[in-house]
Amino acid sequence: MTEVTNQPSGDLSLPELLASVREFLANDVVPQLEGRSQFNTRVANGVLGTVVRELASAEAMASLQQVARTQWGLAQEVDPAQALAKGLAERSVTVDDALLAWLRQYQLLVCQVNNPKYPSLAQAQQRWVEGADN
Amino acid sequence: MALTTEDVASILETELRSVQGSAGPLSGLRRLSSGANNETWTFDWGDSPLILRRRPFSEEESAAAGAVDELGLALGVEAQVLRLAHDAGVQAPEVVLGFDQQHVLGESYVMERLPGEALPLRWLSSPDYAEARVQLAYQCGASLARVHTIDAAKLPDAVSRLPLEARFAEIQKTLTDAGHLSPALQLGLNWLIDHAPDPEDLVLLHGDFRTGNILVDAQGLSGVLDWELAHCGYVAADLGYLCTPVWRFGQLDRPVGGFGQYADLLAGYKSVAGWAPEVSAIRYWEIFAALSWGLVCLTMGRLWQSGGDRDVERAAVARRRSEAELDLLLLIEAWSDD
Repeated sequence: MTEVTNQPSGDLSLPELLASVREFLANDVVPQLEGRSQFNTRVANGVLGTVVRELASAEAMASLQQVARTQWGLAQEVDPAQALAKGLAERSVTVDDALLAWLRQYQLLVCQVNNPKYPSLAQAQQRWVEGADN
Repeated sequence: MALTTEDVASILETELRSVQGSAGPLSGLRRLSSGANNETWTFDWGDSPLILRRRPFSEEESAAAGAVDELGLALGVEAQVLRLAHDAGVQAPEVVLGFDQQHVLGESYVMERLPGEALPLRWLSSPDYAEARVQLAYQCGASLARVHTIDAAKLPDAVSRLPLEARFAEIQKTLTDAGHLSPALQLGLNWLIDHAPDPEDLVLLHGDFRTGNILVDAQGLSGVLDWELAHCGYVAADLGYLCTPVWRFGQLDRPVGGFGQYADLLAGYKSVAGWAPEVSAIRYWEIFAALSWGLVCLTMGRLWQSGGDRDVERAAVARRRSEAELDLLLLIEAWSDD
């Protein structure tokens, strides 16, 4: 691991490489396009934003998945979201406080990655994160 | 068949001249969108603003190209529904011409281009539309009531009349085929099954009546567009769809489409139908509509993966499934709180 300092190390991380592409698209490419191509380039830039956020959230997601494996006794190689979805479809997983609590944390994180500006996300955070502290 | 803009202009010119009293000329033809299956073109015929909707490929060609034809009615059926809606007094565009698959344009129709603004960002919070927004929820209620009065016996056979249980089964199949990837969507479906309303008569639903698919001018509602998801179902489904959070575009405190309140929507509905559903019924269908949005996102992802449509927007929309998942949890929690 590179020590974090205020000095640029010259060794670019994945998020920094992605940031360079995103800045290029936004500053150099988008202004030169119009119509559908301009719209799609903006969308493409948004997609790269999702990639950056998913990379940043990988650790949080892994620990959340570990919580679910312990809670529901799932094997290490099992994807907890899939296992819970299948269990719910078969009605073998009970919808209780533990399930809802985990699912809320999971969906907060997933929405934070995919669309951090989605208006319901602020509402959900207020309800499930800030509200829970009171 | 791939046609140039000049080809399309020349064909339209010939067809419109054959309509009695049509003089032309044709001007300003340009293509607006590049959907998975259908093209939309705008043009003027003399003083008349018109829209052409065409499917450039036959069904066989679409299938061969790998397009997943999961979203929406065939254009000929859509045109028939539009005609019925227009005749019923809904602010639906009038269909001027229709062509079948054998026509050189392919399956297509020409309709009037109604005035008004569609983009929510332009009218949802602008002071220019403040008066329009005051009327809008009432007008939407009245408009939907007119859609629901259309005699279902007159509808083309291709308009789905699936009972609710069959729709649940279809949704379950979609979730299972997708590999059980979303516990929130599954939780939503289970909840909807467990809280399903008693069976009622099926009526024609617009199926996609929401902010973004309606036109708004200074007087309020000026057009009802995007009829390709029309199907038969329960009355409150259209009302709940309009109110589901994703289509409030950030104005969460205005449940009707981000611009109005339930009471106004229901008063407008009652002014035409003589009765109106309960708010609780609307809220059930808000949850159903949230699940539907999740399924649309899933379908967009499959369209992209199938190779039929590699538009980057499809890939981006696929990830918006998490909006639906979050809303399902919030809406079900709010229901339980009451």
